[in-house]
Amino acid sequence: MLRKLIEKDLILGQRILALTGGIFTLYFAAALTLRSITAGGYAALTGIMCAFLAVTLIARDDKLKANSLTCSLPVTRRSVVLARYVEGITLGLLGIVVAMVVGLITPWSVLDPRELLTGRTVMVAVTVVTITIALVLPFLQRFGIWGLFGLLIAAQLLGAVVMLVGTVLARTNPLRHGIYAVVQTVETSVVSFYASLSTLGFAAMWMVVLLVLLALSYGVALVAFAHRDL
Amino acid sequence: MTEHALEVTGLRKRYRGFALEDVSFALPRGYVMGLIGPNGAGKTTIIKLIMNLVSRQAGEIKVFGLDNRRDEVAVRSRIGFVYDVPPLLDDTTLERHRRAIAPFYPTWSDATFERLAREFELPLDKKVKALSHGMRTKFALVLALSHDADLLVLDEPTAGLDPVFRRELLQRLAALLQDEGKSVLFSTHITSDLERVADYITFIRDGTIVFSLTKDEIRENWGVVKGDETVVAQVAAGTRHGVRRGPYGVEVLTSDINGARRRCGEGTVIDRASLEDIMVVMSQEGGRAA
Repeated sequence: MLRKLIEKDLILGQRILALTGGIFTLYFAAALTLRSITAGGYAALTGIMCAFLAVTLIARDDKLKANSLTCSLPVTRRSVVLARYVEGITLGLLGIVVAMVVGLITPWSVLDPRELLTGRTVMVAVTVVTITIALVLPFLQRFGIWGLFGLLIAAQLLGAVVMLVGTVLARTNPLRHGIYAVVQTVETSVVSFYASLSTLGFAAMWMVVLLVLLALSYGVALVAFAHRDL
Repeated sequence: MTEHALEVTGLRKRYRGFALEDVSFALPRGYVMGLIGPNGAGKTTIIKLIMNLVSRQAGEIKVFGLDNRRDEVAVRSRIGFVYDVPPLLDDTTLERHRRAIAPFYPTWSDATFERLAREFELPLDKKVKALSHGMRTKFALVLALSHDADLLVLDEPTAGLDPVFRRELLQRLAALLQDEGKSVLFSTHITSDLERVADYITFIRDGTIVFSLTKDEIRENWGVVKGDETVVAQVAAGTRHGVRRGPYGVEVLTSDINGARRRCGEGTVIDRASLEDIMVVMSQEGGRAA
């Protein structure tokens, strides 16, 4: 059943997938001209975009109400949700492969290919794909395309509010040292995490964490989709 | 072997501002049931509940004796479903839809699909966006009929179609059904469609089943008594299901046309009630269940 669902989505979404994939590939090539880009940054950027390959496909289904077509077929909702997670991760990983190949063969790339093809860079991309899928799919399954928009807008607003509060407090409030401390801690953690990814043991443990995160997200999406009226 | 294709018992579904309450009816195998009612009465909600597309607060739905939630895969593989607005992907060809959908049904027949597509003059290489609403409905019907479904569930399949097209669709549907003994649940607010094809009529209003009867029972027993205000009292209260007052008099809907003839006498005009009469009069305020 899972295979049939994935095949169905690929057959019906072939065109949109080719179009989105093509545009993303051009964008990857363009990103490689940015002087400020690092291998980790490129991996993170392409990771987010690759996660959105499947998200685009699912959101389109939702917009065109094709969800109700899928759920009127002889399938369970559990298998529909599972198929979407499998699609999301598979397309995301395939996208990363494409991004890496683009990074290696683009003549104008500012990145050193040896830097790009490290386990650490690949792990960053895998992390970003997994976290994006884990975060977005439950919203998409429960609230459809509006859930996705809501999540993106909420993330933007949160960022704006944090920036605003930070700016105001930095000028007027003695708490600014505390805020800087928090920001610095986050920054140090990210840098330290990035460095640790080169260690095989840490990378393996992190993979387990990502799998647990995916499993939790799948559980939430399952409950959310089971209660959704189509 | 269960004798019902579909049994709905005590179904309840609440939305904000609308509720289906205690909906029960049964469709015997091999028959066509028309589900009628005004717009917003709850027809589509019932159909979505049968397809398990929406959750319910209470009740049970059995399709050929199988629970539609516990055995949803088995149930859906025996149902051919046509939406009021078929949710097809605009930028995708009909042939691609077939390739995507066919593998889900073990009983799918490419030969049937191709034959019906030819009969319905469907351009399989065209994208859905190039099709009219009627052609989309025809395509949805072809998909529903190509896997040898035992029960067809059709949600307003004739809505938005012109009369010629509608007649053609119904004729083709009737011809297909005649030979193969399928069961059909057909929701519509165009009652004339059902006069031609239905064996049973289930009437729903404001989320409640008003009646579920054979068309013959309705044809033989239901009538409209026409006259002035005095005819209202002449029709026995227990058989009176609604009164419509217009500029030219009063119409009383009764479920006992022979009783009404006896009570009202020769001079009163009493016609057999069409499904449209029933729907119009019973949809008025004060219309009463059978």
